[in-house]
Amino acid sequence: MSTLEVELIERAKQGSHEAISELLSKEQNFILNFMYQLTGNRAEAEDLTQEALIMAYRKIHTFRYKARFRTWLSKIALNLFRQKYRQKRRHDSLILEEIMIPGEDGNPERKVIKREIQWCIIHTLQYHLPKKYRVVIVLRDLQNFSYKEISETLGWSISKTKTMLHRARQFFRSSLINAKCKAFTDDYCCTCEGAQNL
Amino acid sequence: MKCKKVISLLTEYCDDELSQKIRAAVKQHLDQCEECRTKHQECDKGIKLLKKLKPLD
Repeated sequence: MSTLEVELIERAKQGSHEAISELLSKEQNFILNFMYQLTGNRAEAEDLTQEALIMAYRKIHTFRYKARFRTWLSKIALNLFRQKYRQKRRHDSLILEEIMIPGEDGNPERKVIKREIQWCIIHTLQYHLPKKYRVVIVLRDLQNFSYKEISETLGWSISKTKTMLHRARQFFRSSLINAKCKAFTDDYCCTCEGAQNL
Repeated sequence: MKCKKVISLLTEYCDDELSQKIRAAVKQHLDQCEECRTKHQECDKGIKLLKKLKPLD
């Protein structure tokens, strides 16, 4: 944690509105992406982010430097996500247009394939992966958390974190392969049949 | 190192989280075992696919 961040946190804990606003605005985009990767829905991600930031604002006095500020904030957001998604979710199909494609190279055929692969990845992440696996994959592979940070966020031991990440990635790969995702085969067809208990 | 052990270490291998000694042993096995090599490639591909997802602005 940088000296500047510690100073900001200390000022925020003493009630500085300016300091907490600066701290939270730095993390806002990170939390928005984290929530989007878990929910797959921008509006829901924005709502959860806003709730998380408000909660962090109220709870900043309880921050004890046991982890990075970002890890602490992620934990708050994750708890909100868990509360909201405790019940089964309808198995909506994702809308292709909502999925953003990185690195467009202008080749129309490649664009279509890329789009299908992106759809399959996000679809698998959201609907085929149990929540415990999705969370650990999002933290590690999409948010680049270290094993230590994941264990702090999820309250797991390092050993459990490694095991869960290993199983999550295996499950994710198997789901893509079973769905005949073009990333692993040329014969694309999603075999998704039902809702996942999120 | 046996195949079962190598497979169990693939996640940490892909994340570069293994000690040099164990990493070298896994690599040596992968160089010789096609089945484990395929598993490693699939593991690596799965991670790369996820890392390519574009974040929101």
